[in-house]
Amino acid sequence: MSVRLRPMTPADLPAVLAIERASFSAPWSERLFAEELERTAIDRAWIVAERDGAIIGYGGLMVLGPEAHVMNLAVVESARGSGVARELALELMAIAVARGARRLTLEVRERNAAARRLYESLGFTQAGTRPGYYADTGEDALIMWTGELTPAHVSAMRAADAGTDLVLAIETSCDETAAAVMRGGRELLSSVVATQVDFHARFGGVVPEIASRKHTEAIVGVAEEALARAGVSLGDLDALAVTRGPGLIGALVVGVAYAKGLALATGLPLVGVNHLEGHIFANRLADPELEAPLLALLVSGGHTAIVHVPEWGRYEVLGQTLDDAAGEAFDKVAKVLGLGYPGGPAIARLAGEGDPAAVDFPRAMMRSGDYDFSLSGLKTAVITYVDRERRAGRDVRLPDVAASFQAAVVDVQIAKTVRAALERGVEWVCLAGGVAANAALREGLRAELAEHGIRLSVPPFDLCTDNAAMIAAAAHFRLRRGGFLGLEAEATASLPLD
Amino acid sequence: MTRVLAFDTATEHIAIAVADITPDAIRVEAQRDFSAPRAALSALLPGVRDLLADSGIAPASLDAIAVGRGPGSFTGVRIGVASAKGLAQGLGVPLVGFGTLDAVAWRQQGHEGLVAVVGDAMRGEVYPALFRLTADACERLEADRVVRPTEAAEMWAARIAEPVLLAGDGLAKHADVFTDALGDRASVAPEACWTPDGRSVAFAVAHAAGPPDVRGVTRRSRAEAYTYAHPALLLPIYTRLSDAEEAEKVRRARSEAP
Amino acid sequence: MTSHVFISRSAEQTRDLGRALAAALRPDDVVTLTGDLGAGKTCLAQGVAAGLGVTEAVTSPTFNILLEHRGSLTLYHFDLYRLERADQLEDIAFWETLEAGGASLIEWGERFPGALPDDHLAVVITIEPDGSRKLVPEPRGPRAAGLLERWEHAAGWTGVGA
Repeated sequence: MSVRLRPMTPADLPAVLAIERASFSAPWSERLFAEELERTAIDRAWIVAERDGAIIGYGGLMVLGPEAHVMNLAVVESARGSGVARELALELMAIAVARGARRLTLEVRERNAAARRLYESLGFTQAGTRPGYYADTGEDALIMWTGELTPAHVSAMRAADAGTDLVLAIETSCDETAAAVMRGGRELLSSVVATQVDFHARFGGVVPEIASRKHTEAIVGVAEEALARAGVSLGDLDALAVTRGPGLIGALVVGVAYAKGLALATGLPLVGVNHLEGHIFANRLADPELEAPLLALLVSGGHTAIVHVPEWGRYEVLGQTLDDAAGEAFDKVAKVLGLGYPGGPAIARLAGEGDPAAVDFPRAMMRSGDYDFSLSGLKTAVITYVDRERRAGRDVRLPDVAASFQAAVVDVQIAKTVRAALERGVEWVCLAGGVAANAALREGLRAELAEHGIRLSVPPFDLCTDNAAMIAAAAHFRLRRGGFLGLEAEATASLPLD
Repeated sequence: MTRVLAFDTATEHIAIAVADITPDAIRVEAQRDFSAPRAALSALLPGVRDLLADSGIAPASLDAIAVGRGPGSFTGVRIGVASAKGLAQGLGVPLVGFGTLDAVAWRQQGHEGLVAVVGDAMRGEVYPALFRLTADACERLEADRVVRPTEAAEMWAARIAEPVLLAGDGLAKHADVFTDALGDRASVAPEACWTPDGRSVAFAVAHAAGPPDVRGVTRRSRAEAYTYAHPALLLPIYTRLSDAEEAEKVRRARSEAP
Repeated sequence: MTSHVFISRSAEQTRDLGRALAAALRPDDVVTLTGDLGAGKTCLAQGVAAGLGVTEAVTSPTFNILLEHRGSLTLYHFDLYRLERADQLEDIAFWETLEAGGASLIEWGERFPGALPDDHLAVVITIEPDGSRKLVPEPRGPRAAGLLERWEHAAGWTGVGA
């Protein structure tokens, strides 16, 4: 049975008080509620949630000009965890912005973890504390605030909750200018990269060569093409999304500046996506069964990290490389061995013919007890080995070196990933980023995980490369969590996942 | 009449204006300028939002966007151009450009005669451009390029036989080169006038010659004007880029020589 | 002109040389690091970062091409390995960053000799047959000469190289 939200009336007070008294150690009195209800025409708003005619929750708000204060919110114990509190809070947010408020604030008990999680999942962040605010327990109150909100922001969050959010995502973190339109974080309506757009046909012969890095030239055309292929216009969208890092700073700023310009012009809310979470979401697009909580091993030319994803849109980086990324180590060792670029496939191919136990390269940080990696020393060890053998006039068997190097990289990654997966108790591990294409890593990890009953998700090749579809998929959860960017937002070359 | 939102982010000083531009008149409705070194991305659009809000101008009432195409800080120009493209596309209005050095020349309004603008090109180089300023016009006498300060100064010393006012953010590092070469012909504008302000940006927009330009926008219907000055078409001024490509060609030719 | 050479016998000694270099750096100094893969360029950079009080991990900038680290002086750590053409330097705001008031370390700068500032300190690192590393700094201007002098002085304090 669905939940109905409506304004609170004096007749609701007995039911409301019953929930209030069961929920809080220092409950509000009936008189306080009655006085609040008398002010609803002035600066207060009180609502209740009903199911099957019974009141199962309520909340209240005070609007003071551009700021609104959430004063109270509670849900009957039997209905907790079913999303009623979130619906109440979103309704209060909608009322607040409709009455002209631009930011919301509230106080929450430091030890009320459920409430803190609720408000964090709605975009409230901690801005301070009031020490000893709660007289009954002496607990601190955490003061939380949202960022700047408009009615469009709140309705976009609700659309995301309903799974109908229509998002245009922009991605310029590296070489490709890309845009995609997606509904509900899963239904891909279009995904366009600059190299696919016929700029000549679209704009006539005026636009010069569209080099891959020329995001400034390409971005409007790519976004137009994405909207056209999806059959939607800017006015149909619920939100915009943009990659704000990590990546090449000069490339990132173009996407972020453009997306902010679009947002200011259209009034659409803008969410910022981390390129790395995009890679995790590429797996979700390809593999509908994949569900959080999960563990992601992110391995690419620029990154090597183990990330715990307790729920979609929340990240905890357990460890990462302290120097070189895995893909980079493959490329550089391939260069030393004279195998050409890109190095990953070349080494993997050669390694297939070699003996992984031929050379005992160091497995750095294998027993460091943490989830960090170090690959620089391994790279140097390979170079030193090859130099020494050649100087000694011995024949260097490249397949053996490639196989031994690859084993040294892969062994540490597999060992740490499996250990982290067991420690976190996840059912899924997802392999993300370009190095996911490495068969030794993929199959080795799959076999190890299978022994513990953990499933492995591997992305299809076309989603390993940079695209905006994965950014749109990640944006859906950023949107649900109220992770909006303001117009002052920056791009960051080394943005950590948070 | 065309109501234009114009801004420039090519220097460390951001300038924003809203102006009503007709073929005969420029009315600056609102303007603001502020220092934002290496902060164009975080400062430009909040500045635009606040200027519009403080002046009671609804974004939807704008007829066109205009942006400084440089030359100047490459990142600054790119941020300005990308922001302008998003704004124009989002509003469905045309996007026109203007030269940053033209706006610096217009900043010297009140002075009549030659204005030599020296933009900072980094790497010990400058963007020099010479203008002739009269009461109601600013004639550009040279195209944009990037050169060593000594080269620009020597060329101007040979060419200029009358008083000339020096301006531009390149003077912060290289003023001596130009005052030494030009001697008592040169006077230096106050440092506060080395970068555009809102008013000078509005004048640079109104006088910039396209196509596309603001006159062409004014003559057309809104839909025609959007196609005529589509936001996809505007590009930064790539003085440095062609220079870099040239240098790379030279390097390659050398390395390939026997 | 005397030829300056530092010898490092371990990664730790290379890091110490980096710490000494950090003590010598002034705003807008530019140092290029040239050497084979595995010679210790990133290792030297890690030492510089440590000397500047940078606390985060100094990872290889090969992928992002430019990583920025906030310390007592902002460290701009470039790796031009992946760039194919000089005009791509604009994508990373190369020249603006060199003059932004921090100190710049540039790996693989020799790929674009025309793009480097006239006055910079060029450091060439080679792997010696015995596995030790030889660092040969060559000042390309008066500013770099001053930097080298301060670096040698600081390296003397820490007792490495020279």
